[in-house]
Amino acid sequence: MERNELTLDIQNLKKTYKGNIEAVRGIDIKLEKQRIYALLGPNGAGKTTVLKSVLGLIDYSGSIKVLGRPIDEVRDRISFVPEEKNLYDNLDIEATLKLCQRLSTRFDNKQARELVRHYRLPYKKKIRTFSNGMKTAVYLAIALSTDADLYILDEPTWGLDPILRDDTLEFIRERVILGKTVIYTSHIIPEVEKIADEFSIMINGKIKYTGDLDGIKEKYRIIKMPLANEQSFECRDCLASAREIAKVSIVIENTDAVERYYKNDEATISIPDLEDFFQILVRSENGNSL
Amino acid sequence: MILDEGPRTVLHFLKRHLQDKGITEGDNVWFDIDIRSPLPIYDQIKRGVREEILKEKLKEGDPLPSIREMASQIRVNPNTVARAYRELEMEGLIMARQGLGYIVISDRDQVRDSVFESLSTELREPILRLKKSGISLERLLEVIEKIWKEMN
Repeated sequence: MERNELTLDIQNLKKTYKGNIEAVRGIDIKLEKQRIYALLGPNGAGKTTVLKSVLGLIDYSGSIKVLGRPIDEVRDRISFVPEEKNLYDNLDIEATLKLCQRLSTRFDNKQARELVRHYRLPYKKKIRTFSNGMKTAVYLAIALSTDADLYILDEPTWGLDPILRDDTLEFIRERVILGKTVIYTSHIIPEVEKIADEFSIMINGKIKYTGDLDGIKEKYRIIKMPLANEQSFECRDCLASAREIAKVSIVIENTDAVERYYKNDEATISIPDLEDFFQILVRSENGNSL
Repeated sequence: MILDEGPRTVLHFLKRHLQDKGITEGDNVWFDIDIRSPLPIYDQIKRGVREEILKEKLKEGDPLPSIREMASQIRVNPNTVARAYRELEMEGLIMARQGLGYIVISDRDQVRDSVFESLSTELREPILRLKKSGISLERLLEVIEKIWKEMN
């Protein structure tokens, strides 16, 4: 791979499903090597459609380059966890691991077995009988034991308990410490806070914000202040504003603009955490209402 | 390998894997990172290193853990550690040596100033909030003094 080549380069991706449903409405994603990128958004935002497009599983318009090439030329250099975690339903773990070993020379059977043990999965039971979290764990054990340059993970912690979820995040981070690149989807804020180098907030098929956690802490302030329900509110220099009962919350760049709110005794100003930042952006998009 | 139960398990697991890949563990972790803190994470790493120099646990000429080591020890991404190191280098506290990683090139007196500088950024918002709610400087100083004394 060229030095400055992007690991993933998506330009103006659009996807309209049958019935004129615009799932993705023109997005760009640029992902550099050895970074973890999270696509964060409420259910139905279009996150899975983006990953399916990257994997070439659906038609789309726009341009997607993976490791500088069309996906079909680099399939052996990617590893993924799909949204639907039902592929190996009729097999048990033992048979699944054997299958993986036959399918890919990049599959590390020893490591997969350690992960199977870590996730406490039974070897001899049909995967069909597994809980959602256990099915996710099967996919993780396989995907993370397959050596790849880019890991594409759709809801990689779906159904896992909090401890295994945390462990999984560390396994993902480990890939990146070893020089790999990761793109994953999530609607769970702490997951993104913990490991994403960079994230995009996706709402209704569009990316509303791209940045990193340190960036929002430095660049933005959240201001909350009382506002009567019948009073109108407009904020031209706000990134987002969300009305709740008798109050309004805004996200605003931390510049001189913030200073005028310091004079308002009823306003509270805080350094954003991702939870608040995300909430205000999503609510702002949804017509400022609860 | 028999894995322990509980949250330590993942650490053992990771350490072993990193060792397998030739990434060895350096010294112990000295500081914790709080992702929920209003402080940016790269800034917390910078503070951590500065405080180690202040406490003289790190002295002039000492090597810092490599970016990978630091990343896996304090559980942050290598990019973030790299940023912190880069900025500490620009501030003249550490220096990259070809093939040797980063070494400390400053002593506690040099670090003290930059610690105070970041302290005032950190305190600005809470102090402002108190000021706005009508707390006097005298009262604030009393509180600080009280906390200070409680620590001895």
